[in-house]
Amino acid sequence: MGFDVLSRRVSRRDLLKVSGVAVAATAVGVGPRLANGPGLFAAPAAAPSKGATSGDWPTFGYDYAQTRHVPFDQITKENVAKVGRVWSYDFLEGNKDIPPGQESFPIVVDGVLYVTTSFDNVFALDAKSGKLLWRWKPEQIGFFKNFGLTYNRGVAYGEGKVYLLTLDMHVVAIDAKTGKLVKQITIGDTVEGADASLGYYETVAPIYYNGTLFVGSSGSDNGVRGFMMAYKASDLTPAWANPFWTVPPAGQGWRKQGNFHGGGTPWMPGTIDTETDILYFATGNPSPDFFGEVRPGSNPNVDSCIAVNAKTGEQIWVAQSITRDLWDYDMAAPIVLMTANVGGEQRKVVAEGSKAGQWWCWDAANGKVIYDGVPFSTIKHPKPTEQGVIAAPGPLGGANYAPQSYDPTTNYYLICNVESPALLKQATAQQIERRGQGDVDFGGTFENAPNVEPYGTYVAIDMNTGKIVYNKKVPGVLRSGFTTTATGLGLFAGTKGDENIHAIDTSSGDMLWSFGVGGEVAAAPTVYMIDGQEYIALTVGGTSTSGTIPTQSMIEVFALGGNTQQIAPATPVATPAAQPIPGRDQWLVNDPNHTDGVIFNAIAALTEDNNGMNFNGYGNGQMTITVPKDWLLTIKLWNKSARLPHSIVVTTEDNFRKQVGQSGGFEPAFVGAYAPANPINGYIGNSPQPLQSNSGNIKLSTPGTYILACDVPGHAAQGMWDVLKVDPNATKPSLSTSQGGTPVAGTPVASPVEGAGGM
Amino acid sequence: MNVFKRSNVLSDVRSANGSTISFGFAKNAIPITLWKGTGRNLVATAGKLTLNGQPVAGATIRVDHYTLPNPTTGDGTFQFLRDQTLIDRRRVTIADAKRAKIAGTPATQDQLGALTKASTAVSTVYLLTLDGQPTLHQGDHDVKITGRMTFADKTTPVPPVTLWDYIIRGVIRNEHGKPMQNVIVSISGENGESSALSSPTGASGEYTLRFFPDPDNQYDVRAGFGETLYTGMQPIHFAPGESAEMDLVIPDTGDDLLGTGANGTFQPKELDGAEYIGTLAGLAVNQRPIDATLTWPDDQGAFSISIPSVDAAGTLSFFQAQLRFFTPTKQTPGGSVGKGILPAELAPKMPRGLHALKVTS
Repeated sequence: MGFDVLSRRVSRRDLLKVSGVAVAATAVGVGPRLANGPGLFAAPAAAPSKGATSGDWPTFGYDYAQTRHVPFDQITKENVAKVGRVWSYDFLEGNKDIPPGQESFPIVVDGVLYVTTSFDNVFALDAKSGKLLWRWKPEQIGFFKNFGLTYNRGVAYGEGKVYLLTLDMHVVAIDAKTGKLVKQITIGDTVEGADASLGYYETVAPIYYNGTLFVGSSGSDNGVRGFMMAYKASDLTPAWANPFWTVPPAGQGWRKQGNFHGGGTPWMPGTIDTETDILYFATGNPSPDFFGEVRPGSNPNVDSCIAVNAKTGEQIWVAQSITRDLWDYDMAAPIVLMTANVGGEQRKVVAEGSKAGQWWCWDAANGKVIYDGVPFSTIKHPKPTEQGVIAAPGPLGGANYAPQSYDPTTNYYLICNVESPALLKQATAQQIERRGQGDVDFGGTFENAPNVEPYGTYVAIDMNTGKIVYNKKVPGVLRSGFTTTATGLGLFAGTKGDENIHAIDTSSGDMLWSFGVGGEVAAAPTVYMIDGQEYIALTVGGTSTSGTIPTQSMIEVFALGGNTQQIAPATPVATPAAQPIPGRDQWLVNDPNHTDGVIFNAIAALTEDNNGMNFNGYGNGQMTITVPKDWLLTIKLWNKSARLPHSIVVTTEDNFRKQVGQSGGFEPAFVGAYAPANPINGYIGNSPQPLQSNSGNIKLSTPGTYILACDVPGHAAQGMWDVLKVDPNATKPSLSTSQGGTPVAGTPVASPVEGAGGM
Repeated sequence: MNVFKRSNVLSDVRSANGSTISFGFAKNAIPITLWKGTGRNLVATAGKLTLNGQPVAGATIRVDHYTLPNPTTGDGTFQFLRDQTLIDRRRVTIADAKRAKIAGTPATQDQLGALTKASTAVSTVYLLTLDGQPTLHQGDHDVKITGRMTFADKTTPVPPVTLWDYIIRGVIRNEHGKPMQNVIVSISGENGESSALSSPTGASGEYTLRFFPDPDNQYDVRAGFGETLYTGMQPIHFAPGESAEMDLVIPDTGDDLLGTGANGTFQPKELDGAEYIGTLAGLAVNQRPIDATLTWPDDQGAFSISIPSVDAAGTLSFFQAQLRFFTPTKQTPGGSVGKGILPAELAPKMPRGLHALKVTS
């Protein structure tokens, strides 16, 4: 399910407008690896189309079992705090035809990272450097702009091709090396009625397995008939003789009363047991979502885990989570297959936590229930009325499409949960009749419960007992999903108010690392190895249900030794509190560690003067720092702007004159005399940035006049520069400003630095 | 009379060179069963490929777009799964016979040619139970055949003909009057409800939107073409219980979607009628429905076929069709099937040849 706020000229399909906020109804949604070897999933097997021991992340959930558990062990509980950014890519840069927002789960094959964006664009990036290798985009996107939902959750890889499902119900095969289209088919040609005009759409990633591509779809809230279909990856012809239909044909069973009502779409990827060739998938809610009167009975096979023969599409077993769903409680996230310690014995089981806020576990062979609806979220399931009822979870929670992970190091099952109770209002019978085929079919409206701020929790369930081990709160709703590693790390990311990637100790739930990624996250981390380096990739941009209207579409990639500069807005969660901006008497202070040392707190954009292009309120050379020759100068760069990045470089006058017209690129006059690590990009954040010299300071051994300039392109040219003088005759540091300066709260004067009082 | 008591004659194909190829299905048609949520809705369908009575081994069979993973066995047998819950007709062909052996001997070029041209079909149909065995003679007038159309359980009637949607249809052109291909037209009501999309237009530029006119709503009209979304700036009200016709224009410049009225205003015209879905049984000769008056199955599945005049001797056979159609006249269970609803020729997916009625001279 997703929601969006739309203007009159923007799409409103799949949307309901509720209390001024348009809310869509179904919250919603490689070969790879097999993870179901004997015992625990300690070592994934090879991708079917490539070597056995790569560090790839070759399929949606890392392995066919959708465990999202990697065997990589370079990043540990002990060193995770040293993880930093190694590259990023902005999908919107130069690609204005891509809408903001990101729900894509990257895959990595042979050193290439394949990731999608809204409007079904596919990018191939060098997974080590982030260099763009190719981009593919559909030709016909005009109508996408009127579709409401724009997201795509990723691709499958196999046989040298990348496979994509498009919003308008096509399967696309792209040459993985060149990005050229190989073949495209219309799903409706082989699945009767599976057409966008009848309410179907695709946001899901397909799964490639053993020459076959498995394809579900979305559209439960539009009353479609859910299906799973298989195609031969080689030529995209059907691999099954028939689609597997999850609900009755129109006019039969519980669909007899309303031909346009339906549901049961599998809108996240399937899960495969490579030992038994069983395909498991979860199905969505029945529709009309909140109006059960026209779909009598338990509506079997919706909100269910379905097991079918992957070779033929024959049903093996079905287990329904909740019956008589009146709240849009899809089983959304991928089913996780695992061999776990269950009740003291090793058992092969499948499990999933659903939007109902409950968790189920079944025997993988026969669907017999092992753990039955363990609650991990606030549960309140009243029957909807026209007047409205408060239901918990709301249609956007508890466990939405965010993938879940099984961590064999702890035998814990990990879930990203959303606590967002909602006010559900049932439609009238007359309103139910007023819809055509393919139209939205919620059977009512919903909005956030009044006076309740939604939030997220991360949950661990002990597979041995079915008991919750911990359930910990984070500020934003959780849309990302979990990934776990062999070193006992659990990785996920937050949304509004918690724009961070997090690493927890899966055994305790303790937060070990939080790193600002600059935006909301609505997809789980991908972890891979190249040349002995372990990387964590994360798409950033959020979704319409993650808190704010998306404005970004990025990928951020992390590794040990990367740049530890976080990206604002970084809301500290288990991170040091933001430090206060130094007051005037703290701008120039003695260095407590060096007798002949001084610390300059350079505060970018301290005031709004000169459009914020100033240090400590002064620009255009109106502030001069004077330091005796051979003293050590430490510069801490602060940035008061939450919007514009800034940096500082100590450069020579000659270089400044030469480069200031070239949009920066200043040469440091001393080794490491700049901050942050990439001064052209600059930084936004709450913590001061040190100089990049080894010691964080520079020895001013050469007398002369230097320039302190911001190296973000254009800033110095706009006057964001001041003066540093290294004076052989000076006996102590001082700070002065010219008469034309732009003072802050009184005029700074030469600041004495002797003694502790001024420090 | 149960029409499924019949031979497998349709499995036999006589090629131009005189060879007889049989796909060897026990039945060419199976009756529809009710969909089961907890059971199996697929049924194994086995055949045996022979040429002049000799088994054909190593041939690859194709069913519609689906190619069977395994070639025919040594005795020519093959098997695939069919969904027995949907009315359907599936074309069966030989996708590859290059490695085929006939009675252990590689196929000759003539035999290969015959095999690759052979085809048959298997159908899943409603059970037709006729009220007695019709006898037809050339020159008969006002012959009436009656029966029931049910699921395999013989009690559950075929779903009745139903009003499905109202439509908006028209042609979308460029400013110079040329029909636009690959355009998707859409409407959406003011609250995001009552939205509808068309399929991409073909060479004729014709589009159809299926919707339920909401009298309380005004609709925005848009058209997606290439990378541009063209938007009409004039919301439209559609009358309840009515369809509409409305031609559209995509301008050379800008992204406003225009109508055909003055200054590009939209000119929707009321269109009597609606779109229905219904399933019926009829009689055909050589893929063509005969001139007969049909009734839709009533709420018990009972139907009738009235033949005004039996013109010629020969063989008639039943067909079935699930039709989705627009008509200006109201269609009701048990009522007459309106003129123009039946196609002149049976579409490939319509089951036919279900029971032969011999017309004697």
